[in-house]
Amino acid sequence: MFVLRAAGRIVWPRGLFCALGLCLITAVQAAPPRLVAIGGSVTETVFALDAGDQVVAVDTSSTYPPVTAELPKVGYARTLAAEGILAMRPDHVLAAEHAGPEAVFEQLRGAGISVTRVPDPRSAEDTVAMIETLATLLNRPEQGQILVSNLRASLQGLAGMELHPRDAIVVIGGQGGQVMVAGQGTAADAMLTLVGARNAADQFRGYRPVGDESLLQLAPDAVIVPDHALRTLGGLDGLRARPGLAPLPDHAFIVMDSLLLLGMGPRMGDAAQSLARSLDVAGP
Amino acid sequence: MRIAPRARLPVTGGLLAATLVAALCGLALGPLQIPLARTVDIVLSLVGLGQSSVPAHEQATIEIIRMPRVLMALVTGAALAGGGAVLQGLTRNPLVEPALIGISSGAALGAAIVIVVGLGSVLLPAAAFAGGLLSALAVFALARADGRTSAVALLLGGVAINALTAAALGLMIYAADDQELRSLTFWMFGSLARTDWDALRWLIPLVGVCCVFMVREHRALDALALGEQVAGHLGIDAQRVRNRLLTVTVLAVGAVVAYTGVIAFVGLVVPHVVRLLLGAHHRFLIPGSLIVGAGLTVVADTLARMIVAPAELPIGVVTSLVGAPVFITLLWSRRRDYGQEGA
Repeated sequence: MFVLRAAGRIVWPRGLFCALGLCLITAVQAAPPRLVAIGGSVTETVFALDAGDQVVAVDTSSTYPPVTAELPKVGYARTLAAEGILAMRPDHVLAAEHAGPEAVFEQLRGAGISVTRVPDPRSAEDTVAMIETLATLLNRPEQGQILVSNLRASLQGLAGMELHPRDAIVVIGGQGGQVMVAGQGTAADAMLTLVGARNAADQFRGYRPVGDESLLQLAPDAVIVPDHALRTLGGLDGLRARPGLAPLPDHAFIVMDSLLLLGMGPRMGDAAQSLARSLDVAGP
Repeated sequence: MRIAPRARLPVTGGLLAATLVAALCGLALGPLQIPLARTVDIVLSLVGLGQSSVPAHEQATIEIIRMPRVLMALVTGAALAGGGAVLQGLTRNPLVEPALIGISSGAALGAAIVIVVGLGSVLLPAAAFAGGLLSALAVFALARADGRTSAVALLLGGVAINALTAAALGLMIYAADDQELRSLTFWMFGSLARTDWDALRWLIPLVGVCCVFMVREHRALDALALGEQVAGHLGIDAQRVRNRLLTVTVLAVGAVVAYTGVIAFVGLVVPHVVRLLLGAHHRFLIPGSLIVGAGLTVVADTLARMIVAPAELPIGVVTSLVGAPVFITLLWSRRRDYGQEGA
């Protein structure tokens, strides 16, 4: 299956490339630059800016909008390979800061492709900055302004909501199905702060495995799970049944779309509102 | 079935030719399709013969991506397989590979420290090299008593030091944040994706010299196979040979592992494949291992780039996928010979 899919991907764009090459020669302005977008929120922003038709390939963490599922995948953002990206014949590679390895971007630059790294957003202002950077780069200033004002509007809508200062934790599945909890400096932590909740696991930075006894110690009111993590955690039932979380009522568990919750892309205002509503329900 | 002594030279020549063909395929094949004629053009222009007038991105693909990778694959495969053959000969143990005397785990620890403490990626190969060297030295120190190095103590020392470095690595993994953890995992999987010309500029001469030393000591290795005392009677200074060979092995393997990370299978199994093809005499076993190791690694890396293109598979997975069936087939067809040798 892989071979066929790969072959399909190698073969069909070639005619297109030739056509594109001719277009480039005859009218340089006519052909919009071909883009490879790497990183879930970068891809989401590019599509939100109406530049999705220029995207010729994405990485496997780019899952939104759903149409990205039909694009060729150049591998996982952190284990990229230069030639696979080159084979898509991009003019411009837009990659999130966490993408790598670094040597791959050096090789791409060496092959004459312009590479832009986009910092990973950790606050609403970072997201605004990301949208503005990409809007300028893709020559879509109006769409950029619309996205930014929509984002600001939905964040203001959040300010009008009644927020509950709950103690919450965000968990993902680690090796062997153990529970990993998001500490400080994570996108999860930033989202909790944004909706007025307190990250009950603020004693460490990054994601750490946390045992059942320590989960009891953290005593959160709510447990938030990005949906991609459910499988490794044994599903929602498996998570609820963990001794460290068993005392919590069923409505304390909140499942959210991973990229929506952790991507901090253009939809982060909506994500925050949805999270705030869930936390309202999840109250003690 | 014994291998006819007269067949050894032609078989070695055939293996060498196959490896060269594999290297050319590695240059000509990849997710980006480049016609063979243009590939040849570019390669000729790179070695200073003729002028190439091909599209810049094709030139760049071969010059800065494929060529360094193919060379790196050759060097890495030769170092791992040659090192494996030498260590199996020195210890008279067919299960030994370079990783067993602490080189890989030490290198991994060195890399982990750089990644987690955040010393910058420039230092990574140096730290990995130093880590591999230090842990191999620790193993030798453990195995040395009264100026002699015992093979059994070497293996046990390797087990002990590997356990220690694995524990330290576990601590580093715990201390790592998400991003560091992923770079660390990527490094430990093994990959040739980070190869550049700067690394090759010193790797090729270093590994080349080490390989010459490995090949030159074939008589001593044959003599050591009969036992240290017999070797002594044959006029071989076992201790000197052992020190010299361990040093070149650690240098060669440590240097490549520092750049590629841990690549499984090659160091352990390639010497066995070559033994089945060319017999156990080190005069052919060592060069054969260097050639087959290099060839297998090039084939594996080319497949790794192609199978799931435009993404890429970890090369360690592919070396085992390609090498294991070959090994099983050889083992199956020659299993009676193994029985006789054991008797």
